[in-house]
Amino acid sequence: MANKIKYGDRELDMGDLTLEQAKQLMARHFPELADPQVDKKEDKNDTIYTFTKKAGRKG
Amino acid sequence: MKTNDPKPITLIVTIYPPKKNARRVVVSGAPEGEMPLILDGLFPDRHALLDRVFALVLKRDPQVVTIAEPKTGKAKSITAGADDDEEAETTEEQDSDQLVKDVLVSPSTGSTEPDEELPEIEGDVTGASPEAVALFENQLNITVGALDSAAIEPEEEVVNDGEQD
Repeated sequence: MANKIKYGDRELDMGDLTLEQAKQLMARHFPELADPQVDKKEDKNDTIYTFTKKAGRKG
Repeated sequence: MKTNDPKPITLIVTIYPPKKNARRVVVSGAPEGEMPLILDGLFPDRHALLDRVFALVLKRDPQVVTIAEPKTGKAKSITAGADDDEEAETTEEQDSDQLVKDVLVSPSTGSTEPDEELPEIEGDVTGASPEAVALFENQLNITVGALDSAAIEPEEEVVNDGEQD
């Protein structure tokens, strides 16, 4: 069973990273993910964490 | 003309606190806007990890992250013109409705409110009792009948005059 990060149309194997470590790593590579929305989804043998940018306020 | 200018590669080394007397190191690297490549190992291997990640990122195909537009937002942008058309149609309908309302409104008062301050008119049946209405209609019929008979007689005279000539 593998943990994966999904962002946009790309997936990445998390390896031994915890979700919190993955969040920090993604935030360093993608500044827009500093405060991400993460949706967990079980897919067969994998757990996929889908990262999306939280909708910001207008103005 | 070359379009794929090489982007700078960012390598991030994260050294975690020791667990069971071993420090874990995670190295991630990617060009800007691409999904990072991640390798992890122990602290003594940090330099080798750094070199490996750099080499693998150089070799791999670009993995630019494409964010799909939210469906609602896209739909909004696609239908933006149609919305404008609908608004325009609505405005036209509202204008035509307003025109009808303007026609229905009394031109003298410019208002649809009941005319409370208008003077009473003799013979006005508005708000009269059924008996008064019946009496008024009878009088009206008598008047109309008298007018009809008065109007027919001269016509016969005119016809007769024509025949004589």
